[in-house]
Amino acid sequence: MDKELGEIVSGFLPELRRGTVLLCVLAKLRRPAYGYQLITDLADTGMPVEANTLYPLLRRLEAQGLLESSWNTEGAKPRKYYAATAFGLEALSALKSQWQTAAQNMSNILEEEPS
Amino acid sequence: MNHELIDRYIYAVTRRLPPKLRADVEQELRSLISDMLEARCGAAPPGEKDVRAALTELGAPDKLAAKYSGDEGKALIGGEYFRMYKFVLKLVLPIAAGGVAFASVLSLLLNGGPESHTLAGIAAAVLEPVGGAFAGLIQAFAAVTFIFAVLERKKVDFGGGNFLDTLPPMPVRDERVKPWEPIAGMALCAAMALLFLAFPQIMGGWLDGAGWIPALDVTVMRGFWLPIALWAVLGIGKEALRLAEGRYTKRLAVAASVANPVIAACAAVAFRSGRIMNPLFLARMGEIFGEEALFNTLFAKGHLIFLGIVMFALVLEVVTFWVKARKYNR
Repeated sequence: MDKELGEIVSGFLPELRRGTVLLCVLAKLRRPAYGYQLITDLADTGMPVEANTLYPLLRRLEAQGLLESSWNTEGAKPRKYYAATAFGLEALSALKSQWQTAAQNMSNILEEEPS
Repeated sequence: MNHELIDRYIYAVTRRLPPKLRADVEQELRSLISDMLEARCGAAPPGEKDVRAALTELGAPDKLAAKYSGDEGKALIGGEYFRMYKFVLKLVLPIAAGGVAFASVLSLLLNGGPESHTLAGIAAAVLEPVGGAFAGLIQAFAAVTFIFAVLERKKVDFGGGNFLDTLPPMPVRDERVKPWEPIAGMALCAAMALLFLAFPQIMGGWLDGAGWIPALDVTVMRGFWLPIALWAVLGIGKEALRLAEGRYTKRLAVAASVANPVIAACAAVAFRSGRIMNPLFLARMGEIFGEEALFNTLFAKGHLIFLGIVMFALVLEVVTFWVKARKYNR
């Protein structure tokens, strides 16, 4: 029984993260960051993303105009920094209000008295 | 960070990427792997084990490349079209195989057919349509696949919006085989074999002064005992299966698709040549009808006309079985 419960939870988490990773990335990139920094940052805040998901995603968001990137070669090794564009910030605020509505609705559903 | 395994990994990821992406992705991956190793080992130089662990964490290069190129989740023929693709294939493949087999039997006939009615001759007459059917299968498969791959790429919409008005009607439940049909079929096969092998002389005509003249050359006809017997056995077997199944199943349609080309080949071996016609019969008919070329042709080509009717019936049967099997989805 515990094993089955574990399977249900471990199947649920990736689904949940898939829907929220875009929101996380846009929110974090209100300030410029490079890919690995973002990975450790998100992992520290309890929303881990795998590198092989995040790096292609960053590139796709850049192609969609939500992010912009630049190489910083001043440090010990060259790093590609990403940051949200104006369009990305606009998208972030729209997604954020969607998220807040959905979160409110979800908590209403979860807290309501069973009839 | 230079390491052969890392170089090979990065090359494996980037080699299929669009050229303008390649250098950028390569550099970014290199600094990512370097960061991962640093997190793992700190200031100490990373060993082979650390490199392997970091690259394993990144995952298979093909998958990563698919994510970078946006090809992830793409398919030649995706779920949306796959069911229709399967449906069309199931419909087209048997028709293509049967059609090509039929055509190759016909061309065998037009070119004079196999040399002999020995086992080798029959084997050749059977193998040619079978090989043709196989080639037909492959060509039809390629054509259907190509068409659906184009549909997938263009994401063609088949009016899915208006599905209520295009719902198919409920089928009429007449898929049951009426038992007398296969029984009559078996009787017909047996009668045919008996007629051609035991009593070919009873087909003919009574002529004043000459008495009964068989239309067929009895000796030549009996020489074809093997293909005729094979024809009868296959025909009876097919009808027995139809009786046993009781419905027009796909299994029955497949059996007919396999048996009928062989039967067609057997019929062709026996009836392609004018040698089986009794020359005396043809001569007498020629005398009676004189200049009436039409009748003379009818009698002289009687064996080919018979063969044509048999071929048509065999093809029609396969098509009918498939249509019924499909209709009732068994």
